[in-house]
Amino acid sequence: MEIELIKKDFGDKLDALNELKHLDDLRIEYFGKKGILTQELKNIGTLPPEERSLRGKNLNELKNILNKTLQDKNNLILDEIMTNSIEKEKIDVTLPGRWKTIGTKHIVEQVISRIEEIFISMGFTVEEGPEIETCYYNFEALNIPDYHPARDEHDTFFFDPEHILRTQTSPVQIRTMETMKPPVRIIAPGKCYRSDDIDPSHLPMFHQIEGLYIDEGVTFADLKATLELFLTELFRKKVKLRFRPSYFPFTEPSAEVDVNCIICDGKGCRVCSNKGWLEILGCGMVDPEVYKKVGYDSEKYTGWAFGIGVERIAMQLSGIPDIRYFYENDKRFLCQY
Amino acid sequence: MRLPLGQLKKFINIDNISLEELDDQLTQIGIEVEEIHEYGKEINSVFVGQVKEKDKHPNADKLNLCVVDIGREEPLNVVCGADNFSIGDKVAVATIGGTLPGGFKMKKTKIRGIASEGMICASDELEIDSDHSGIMVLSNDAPVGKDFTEYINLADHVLELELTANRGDHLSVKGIARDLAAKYTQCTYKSPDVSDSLGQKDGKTSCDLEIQAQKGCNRYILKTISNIKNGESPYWLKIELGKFGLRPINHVVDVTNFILQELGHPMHAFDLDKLKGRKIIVRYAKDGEKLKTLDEREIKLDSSDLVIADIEKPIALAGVMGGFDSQVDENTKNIALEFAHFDPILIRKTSKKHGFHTDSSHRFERFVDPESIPEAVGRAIYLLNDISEPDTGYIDLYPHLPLIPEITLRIDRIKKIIGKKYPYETVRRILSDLQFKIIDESKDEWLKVQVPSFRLFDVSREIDLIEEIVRIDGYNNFSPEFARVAITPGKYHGERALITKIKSNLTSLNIDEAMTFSFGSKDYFKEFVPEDFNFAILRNPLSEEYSTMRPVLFANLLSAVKKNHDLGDKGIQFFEIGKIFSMNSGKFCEHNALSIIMTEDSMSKFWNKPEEKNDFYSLKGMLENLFDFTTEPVVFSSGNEFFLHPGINAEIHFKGSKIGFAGKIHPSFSKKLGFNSNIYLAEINLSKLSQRSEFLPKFTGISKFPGAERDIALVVSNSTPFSAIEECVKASGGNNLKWVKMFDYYEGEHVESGFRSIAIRMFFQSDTKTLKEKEINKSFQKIEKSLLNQLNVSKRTQ
Ligand SMILES: [Zn+2]
Repeated sequence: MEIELIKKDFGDKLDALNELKHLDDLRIEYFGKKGILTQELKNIGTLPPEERSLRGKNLNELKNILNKTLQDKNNLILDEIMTNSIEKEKIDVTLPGRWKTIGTKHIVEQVISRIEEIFISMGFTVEEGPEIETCYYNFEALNIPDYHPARDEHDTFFFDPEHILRTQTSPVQIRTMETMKPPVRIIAPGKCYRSDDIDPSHLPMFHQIEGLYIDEGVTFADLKATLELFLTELFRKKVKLRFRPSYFPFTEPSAEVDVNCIICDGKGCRVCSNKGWLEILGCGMVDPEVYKKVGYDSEKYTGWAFGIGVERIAMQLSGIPDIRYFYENDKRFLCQY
Repeated sequence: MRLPLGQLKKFINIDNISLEELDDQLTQIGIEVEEIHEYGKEINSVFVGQVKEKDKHPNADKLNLCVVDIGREEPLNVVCGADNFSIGDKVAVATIGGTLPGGFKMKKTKIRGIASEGMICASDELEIDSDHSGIMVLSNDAPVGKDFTEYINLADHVLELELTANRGDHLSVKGIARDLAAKYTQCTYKSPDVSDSLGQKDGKTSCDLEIQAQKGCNRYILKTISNIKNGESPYWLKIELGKFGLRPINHVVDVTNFILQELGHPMHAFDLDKLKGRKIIVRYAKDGEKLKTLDEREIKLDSSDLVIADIEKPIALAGVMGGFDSQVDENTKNIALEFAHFDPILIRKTSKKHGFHTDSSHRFERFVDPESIPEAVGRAIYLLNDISEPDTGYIDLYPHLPLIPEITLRIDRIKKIIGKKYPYETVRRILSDLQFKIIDESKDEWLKVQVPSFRLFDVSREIDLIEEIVRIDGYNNFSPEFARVAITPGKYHGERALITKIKSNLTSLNIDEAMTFSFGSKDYFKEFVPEDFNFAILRNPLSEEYSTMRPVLFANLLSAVKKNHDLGDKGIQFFEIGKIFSMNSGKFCEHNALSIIMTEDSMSKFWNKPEEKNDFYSLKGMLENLFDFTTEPVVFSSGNEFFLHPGINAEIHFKGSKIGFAGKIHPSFSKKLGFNSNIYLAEINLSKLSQRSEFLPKFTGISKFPGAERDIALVVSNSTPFSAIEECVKASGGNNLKWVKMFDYYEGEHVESGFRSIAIRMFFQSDTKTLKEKEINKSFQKIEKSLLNQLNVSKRTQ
């Protein structure tokens, strides 16, 4: 058969096809054992010798061309199939996603962990102490003798005359100093208890974080620098601090620290009672009486301590108006954080 | 404490200082200003007037028609109900449009047909006292037309101060002024006006004094005043008391109350004619003695109470409160004034014991300066001058002189504590301004000072002087500067590391953290512990509801779950980590525990998947995953907690000892607590768990050779736990058995009742060679044989 004729026939048949299965049939019709082209190639042998070479060359060229056409058509059909199925697979991406939520840590835990992170990064270790304390650790060792008016600020829950629920995390200072020599660089988070009636700003249980740093050469200026760094990290912006003289029996000098109100930037608002400052923590230089109690040389070592109320910080950072939310465990509150 | 600005200005010339600056400066020296009240703000448009005409009201006998000049062009026509005044008298006139205390607004009114253009005020209408017997007649020199509140010093700013417990010397106007003067060196402190003389020690007194108590009373000055004309205090005194938040009582009592606020000296006045034997005795009470106090409570005394007595019985609880029977009233003619110094601890003990907290006990507890008592006496005589002639003598017993400490302050020590170098001259000046007496010094090195008597309570050591230097120089007057020290790594000590790890794991497992109170109701807790459990119980709880330390964590957590459940949130998964408490042979015990509670309603309901419910295995799976960091796996076995469902009840073991339990809450409890769905709970003692200590565990090798699986389906008696099958497989599987797990479970149709079908898959692999089919089969057959021989199981046939 004439090359051109074969080519045209093949082309016509191919054009009429649009399924992969039929494409395969066509392949067999031409290239199979008894296929048209296979037959033509076999027939070369019957030609006169001088025609064989040219005929062979032409047929092989034809074979390549047809193969390529076949392959192209094959790809075309595959593309079409994919395009069709892609069309069908279209979904509504605005339908709700299938989720596996992550649980929420309690807001108090989140604040404590954050503060721990900051202080650990500054070389502090995290210590613990018991919640049922003795009067010695909670008061006497901290230079709060019996019948001192300073006890008025500690409405204490008693188990017996000796045992109480700790009113502050400060006893951890004493417990730590009793077991180690300076340098001491610790923070101690934990629950504290005072017999305050429950109202929007008081609960009988709350959390504090105690900080203590004792070594040679530790000064009030270092306390300032450390707190400034800590609070800048906590508030995630440069804060302005104000130190006010105050009184804690276990520090001298003692200070209350205010931070410029983060809500109004110090201009005065409801949260800061129009003062522009928020009371943030209490601190001071460890009192020589405390060193005496734990057997440290107060001439050699100096140091500072601070205590910070966790709920109050959380309330200020998040604008929570009522402390009672913290332990009501309403999921709608818990899962906001 | 309330501090009227007008009172402060009597002691220190701060006229040029703005209120904002004063607020700031007080704060800077450690006196917190909580609030500033505008006192008298409610009184508006009340003026001094003069009565020009006074006639009877034509329609009412008891009313007067007055024409009052208040300095305006036209005098006012005012109807007045009182009659205690005459033409020419100066009065306070409230005008139309003005306001009076209690939100009362002045409007034009007609009284019995005649218009009144204002009101002539009685003192109760201006909240000066409670007198409504007539109108207020002012002194003749009152300037007509002047604003009344300004004229009578009623308009003032009152500062509400928050004071620290160590500064008893701040508990008076004088004390604040004195401290402020050390800060404001340009302002001078002025002493109050006092009478020149207390009298002569050997002069006449109308009463004897004896201190019988060995301890407790350090000084007692007694001053008697005869033929006193007691009655109402003058308006200025009533007004000043009002600013301090006190009500006027009578002139003598008002003076004692005023001096307490002004000078910080509690004093007491006795009606001399009510005392038996004209003698005052300071002594300890006899056990069982009784005293009726001014607030009309009858208290029972004992021998630790210091009392003031006449020759018969106690007449006052020393330093705390006077007695009812000896009090001064309007008819009192002769008085004995007590100016004393009592021991702070003694006063605190007594007032605590009897449940008192008075202005007097508050000050004695915080130390009253014994050296400045004579000033208070002089002040009292001065203020009572108009109504009396004091007796010529007085008695001053001073059995315990205060110890005045002498302190050496090293200049370089200040830098060591603060980090800032303070010049010697600055230190010296500040101490002098604070009235410390410099008794010796070595320039630039040290100073030796004597503490002023009013600071004996809070200054006795070098460190206290350092505090004073920094306080007056300013806490904000030195720069932050890090100490240069060696770096040590920060880390967790104790269980906190474990706890933070657990919290992270649990939240990633979709459990929310709750926090509940550490205490609760004993009756409620009793439901969850054995009958002989020893609770840690508070002696002074807020209420029964918060009286007992929690013996288990899950009890309060259940309430939290219930609360959300009732709010309509059925899918709750909560955990809590915290201390639980008990008593063990008289000792208080506490340890950290973890509790997890989940409701059956799955938290993850998907719109295109069938709903899954939580069951015991959800909880168990969670716990197994949670403890991926422990040194050894946790192991579950059948348990018998009485508050759990008897059949869904597991003990959790770690390193061979029980660390907790998990299961479904007992249906009867569930019902009692009001749940209408299944609740699963677990609780674990964290003190018994231990975390892998090394950062990375040892590498265990990974086999290079292919492995093969074999499955077996068994029919297993319900009495044979899966753990027994697992153990049997492991025990008989040999070295090449890498793992075994269950992959199918079925009970019901086609399985005999009392049995279930369990399919397990085993994986065999060698670390040293490719296992031959024959070897694997041999191991598998060995396992199969052991299972069939040792346990109540059979191979499943179809
Ligand atoms: Zn603000």
